[in-house]
Amino acid sequence: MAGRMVEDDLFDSILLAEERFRGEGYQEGFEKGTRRGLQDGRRHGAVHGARLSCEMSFYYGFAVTWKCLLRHSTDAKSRKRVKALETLLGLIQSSPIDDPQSEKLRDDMDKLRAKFRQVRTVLSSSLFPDLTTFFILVSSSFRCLVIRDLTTSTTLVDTGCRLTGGTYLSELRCFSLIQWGK
Amino acid sequence: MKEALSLVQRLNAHPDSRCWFVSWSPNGALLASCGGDKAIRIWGREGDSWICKSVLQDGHQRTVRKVAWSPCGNYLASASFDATTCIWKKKNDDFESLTVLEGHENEVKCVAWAPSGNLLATCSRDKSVWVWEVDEEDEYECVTVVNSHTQDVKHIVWHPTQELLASASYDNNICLYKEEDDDWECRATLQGHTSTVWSLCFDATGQRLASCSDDRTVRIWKEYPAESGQGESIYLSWKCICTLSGYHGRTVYDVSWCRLTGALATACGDDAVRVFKDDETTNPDEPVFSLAAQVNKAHSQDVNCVSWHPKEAGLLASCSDNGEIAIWRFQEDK
Repeated sequence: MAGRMVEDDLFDSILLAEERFRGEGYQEGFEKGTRRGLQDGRRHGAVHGARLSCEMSFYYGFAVTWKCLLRHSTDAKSRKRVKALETLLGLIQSSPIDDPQSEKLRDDMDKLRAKFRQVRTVLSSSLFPDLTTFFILVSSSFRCLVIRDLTTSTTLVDTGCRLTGGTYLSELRCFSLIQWGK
Repeated sequence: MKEALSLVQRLNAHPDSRCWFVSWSPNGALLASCGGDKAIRIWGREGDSWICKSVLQDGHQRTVRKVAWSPCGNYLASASFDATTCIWKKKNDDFESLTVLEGHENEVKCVAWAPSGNLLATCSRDKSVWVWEVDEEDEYECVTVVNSHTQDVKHIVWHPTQELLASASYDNNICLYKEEDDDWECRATLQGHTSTVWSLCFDATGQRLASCSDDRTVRIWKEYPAESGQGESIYLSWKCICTLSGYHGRTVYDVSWCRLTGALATACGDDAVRVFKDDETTNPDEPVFSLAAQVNKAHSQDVNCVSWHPKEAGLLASCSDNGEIAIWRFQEDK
């Protein structure tokens, strides 16, 4: 009995060799494909996430800067503008940036873009006469903020936190130079 | 039945160009037209005929698609393919450009004044609807940008009495917007048309809305109180109560509901102008509209717009791709 089985195995290993190799090859390929897919997906996600974060951070930097610039203005128009900027900031703070798959994030981004366009139109009606360039650095968690005026090399806002991974750069053109006390 | 719509006058309004839109001033004394020649023309009555009172040129760099009079009649807003909306102020018999509203990314397709005169809405091929506020110093400020449509927004119109805005789009939908806590949002989406919705018009009371489309039908919508259950809902409930199909040979580009007589006029791509009337004896929730008048070759090309006179019952203006405006008189045979 035992002898017969050994014979079967021997033949099997020859007759079914092609099938076995195909199966092994498929398995190897499948695993390789899975790993490759994961890598591609991760890369795609990172690029997409960076783009989204860059956009949202730009709106954040824009809103905070304008709020800072307008904080000494007390006329009705400026107060309306500050209110609009606060709505923009509220939208950013309430959106689920930690959950990239959330539906709310997508809707919030649409609302954010529309709100930004409205606020930009409102602010573009000339408030300030001069044009200067600002450098803004904001962390991905929106906690750290540095605003620097490039023409005079003065730092307007520096919240003092240490910036960790996920920082981005943004440039904003503003319409006036305002000196800040420390 | 065809005699019911008779031609009063034909005006060669925008020579060698298209005439896109005509709009009567609120008191009916003037008619504004705009066209592919980038100009706006103001027409006034002199005796029995209409003559051109002034030409507003240099306001836009491209086609002027629509014009709208403010409820007081002192301002005219023009929407253009150059992505701007120009506000003109009436000074005696002439108009001067007061301000230019910028912000849309591409062609502005429509502009409309709210009945209060304090709000202005614009819509564009960039799929957004913008609401602007006017203050006492004639300063215009954008209060909101809404992106409820997924395609080109063709037309917007305000409710005659409430602060309710309706928009029609290439995405086959109609959106209704209302303000809640300083926020304008789409409160209802009316679906039913199977192709681009070109135009909208509310009836005299604003209880019904007429829409016309590339699918060659005209639909009538009515507001129903929101289904009770969860108390007050900010969402509106409108249902389609009537569909006029089989009358139009091509795309219906415009629809106008007469505030005085309740007659419904349509502008069609088959060069015809039609007038419908609803049978008063039928159930208001299921109206029956019948064709009261039709002029088959109203123009030699597509009819782009129809507009009923706000004060004189039965007077209708239409304009066409051939650059002409036609004034008609609709007489009901009773």
